[in-house]
Amino acid sequence: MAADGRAGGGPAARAGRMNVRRWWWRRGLRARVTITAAAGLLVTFAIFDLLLFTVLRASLTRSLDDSTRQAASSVVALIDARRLPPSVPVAPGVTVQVIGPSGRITDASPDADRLVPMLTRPEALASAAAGTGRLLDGPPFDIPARLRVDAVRAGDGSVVIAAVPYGSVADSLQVVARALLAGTPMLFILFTWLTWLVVGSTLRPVTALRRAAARITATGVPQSDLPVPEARDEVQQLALTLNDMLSRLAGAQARQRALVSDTAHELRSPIASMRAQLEVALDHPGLQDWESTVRDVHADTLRLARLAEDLLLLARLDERAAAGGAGRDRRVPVDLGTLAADVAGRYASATAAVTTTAAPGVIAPGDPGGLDRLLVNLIDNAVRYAAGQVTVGVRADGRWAELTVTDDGPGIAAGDLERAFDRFARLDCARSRGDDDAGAGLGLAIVRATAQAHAGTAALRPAPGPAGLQAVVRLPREPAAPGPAVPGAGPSAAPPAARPPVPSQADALDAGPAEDSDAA
Amino acid sequence: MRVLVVEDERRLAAAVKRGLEAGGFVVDLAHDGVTGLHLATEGGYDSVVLDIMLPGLSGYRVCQQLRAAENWVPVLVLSAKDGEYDQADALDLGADDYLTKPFSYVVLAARLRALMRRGAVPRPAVLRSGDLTLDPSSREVRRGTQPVALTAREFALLEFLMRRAGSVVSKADLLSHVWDAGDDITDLNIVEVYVGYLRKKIDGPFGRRALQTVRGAGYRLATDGG
Repeated sequence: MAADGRAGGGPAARAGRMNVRRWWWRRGLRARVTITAAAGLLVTFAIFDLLLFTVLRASLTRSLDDSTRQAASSVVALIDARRLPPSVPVAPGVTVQVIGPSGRITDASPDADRLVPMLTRPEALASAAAGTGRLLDGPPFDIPARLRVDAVRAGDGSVVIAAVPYGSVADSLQVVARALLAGTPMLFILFTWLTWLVVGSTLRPVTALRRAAARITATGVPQSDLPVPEARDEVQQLALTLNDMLSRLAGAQARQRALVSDTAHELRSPIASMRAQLEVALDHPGLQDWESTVRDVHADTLRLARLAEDLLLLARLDERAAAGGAGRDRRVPVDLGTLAADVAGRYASATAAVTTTAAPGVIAPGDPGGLDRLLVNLIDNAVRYAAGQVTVGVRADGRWAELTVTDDGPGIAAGDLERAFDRFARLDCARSRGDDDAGAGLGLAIVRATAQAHAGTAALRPAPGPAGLQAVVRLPREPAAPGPAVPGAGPSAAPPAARPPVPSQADALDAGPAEDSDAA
Repeated sequence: MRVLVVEDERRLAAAVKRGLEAGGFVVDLAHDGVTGLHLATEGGYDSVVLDIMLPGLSGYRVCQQLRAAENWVPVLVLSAKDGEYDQADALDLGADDYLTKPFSYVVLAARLRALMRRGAVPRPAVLRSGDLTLDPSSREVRRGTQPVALTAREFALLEFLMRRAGSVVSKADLLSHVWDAGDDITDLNIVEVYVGYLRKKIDGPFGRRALQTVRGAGYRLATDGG
């Protein structure tokens, strides 16, 4: 606003304009629309009234002129036929004078002045030539009204002047003018009032929306029950959009609340276990096998530590996803086959045999620590349920690198395949949580979050065999990477950002290629 | 005193067992809902400590099924779920007490002793007289499967009568238990009026006579629902 005012005149004028403008923009929408409409109406009505009055006057005058001329013409016809009687015959109300070539009155109707012509001869001739009448005051000619006068030239050089009282036209015009003067303001007020009402009713849904939204703000509960107006207009669209947004917010809030409640539950369980064990031990010191108590409390401590790790990792992955993947981990080319063999090698003493079938040279840009963790989670899961065999597969599929972990266990119901990725998901109700190997239900959630952080996907499906479950992780492949990793091209060679929070294996895996690429 | 602990956290269960045994209880353990329900039904326990998040069958279902089988063993629910509705649900389904994890072992033992003092008297969560049922938590009244809509006052009147089904309840008792002293009503006729309303709703449409008048004494609700 300050910038707008700079072009104005003096400071006082500028301040005045600013005040008016500020006053205007401080009015409500309803008032502004109504004032604008009223101003428009006022101009329209004024133009309309003026036009109506002018046209009406012209038309009435013309018809009066026509009858005047008619009267004059009929006298002219008598003169031309030389049958003009001494007293000129006229219709009642019409006054006729005939002016001879000398300029004197030669004949006149009975009530006409015989000495003073209403028009001088030159005036009459001009009027006759122009074909338009003119207005005269009647009293000088003994006629108590205003007159409309016209003239027609006769063949013998005389001019016939006819006059008709103008009063009837003036009266009509006066009536019309009065009607307009009285009616227009009434119409103006009526229309302005209607505008005020219509704008108000149009804006009422907006007010209702605002009230409902204020109520939501007050309660903090995003209910998607804002009133949706019947009319299919912009306000309805706004209400629908807001409701949609609110229902999504409510969903997010409910998920968040469930997550917090689940997290609390999972954190409380080991704490409750530790507390009970320690309290019982302290209560009955004589009856304790202290070594087994310490071992049990230690096991619970480990479980709590692992849970805290998982929650932190997920929180970081979430944060990164919320930041739109910006500031992501250092991406280095990871040979998935090597990684799979490396991770599988750690399961030598597991309850199931873990074998790897990896195509060589499948490279995906990624965070080696995160991918390591992803594989560990998948293989942990598979080993837990496998009957005896777990297979880790790596292959290239077009632009994608595909990691599969297949077990020969009982599998899970088709309806639960997607739900298994939920945080704290518990599908197998027959499985006891007393089993320490079972995590808190965060493993697959971490797998999916990690895959998504790599612009990839994670899914579960029934294994190709007679029984079992297959986890499939698809990651975008290093573009044009035959043979060993030769990075340097493509988006993967982004400069290293903050140090990624990854376990120690990361260092061993990401050291070589990244340095090489800089050298090359 | 025999206590059944149904808890899938094995180390927690073992610790509770050790402590209770040291306190002189006889303790059995179950690590899933199905086993827990089976043991509780068969075992003749003096009280049950029940987790909610159990494999196989949730603690809510275990409690509900025990009560449905008219097993009135005192149940203490032990859960890491601390939501208001988690607790309310468990209690409304027939549990007698609720303790959130992590808990004080001393408090757990004290609450168990208190529960056992009260004993296994019938205290149904849903009141039943024949085919007439009243659920105080959901405030639903049914005749068979047919829901019956009652006003708050009629509901309170019926609940009081059903809790004493089979015995005669005087008008004065009804007035003092169902009507607020602040209502300042001393005319016993109001009780008659409301008993009339109640009959029109729970007896009339069904051709029954559950709410009986005992001349000179008061009213009695038939235990078989009329």
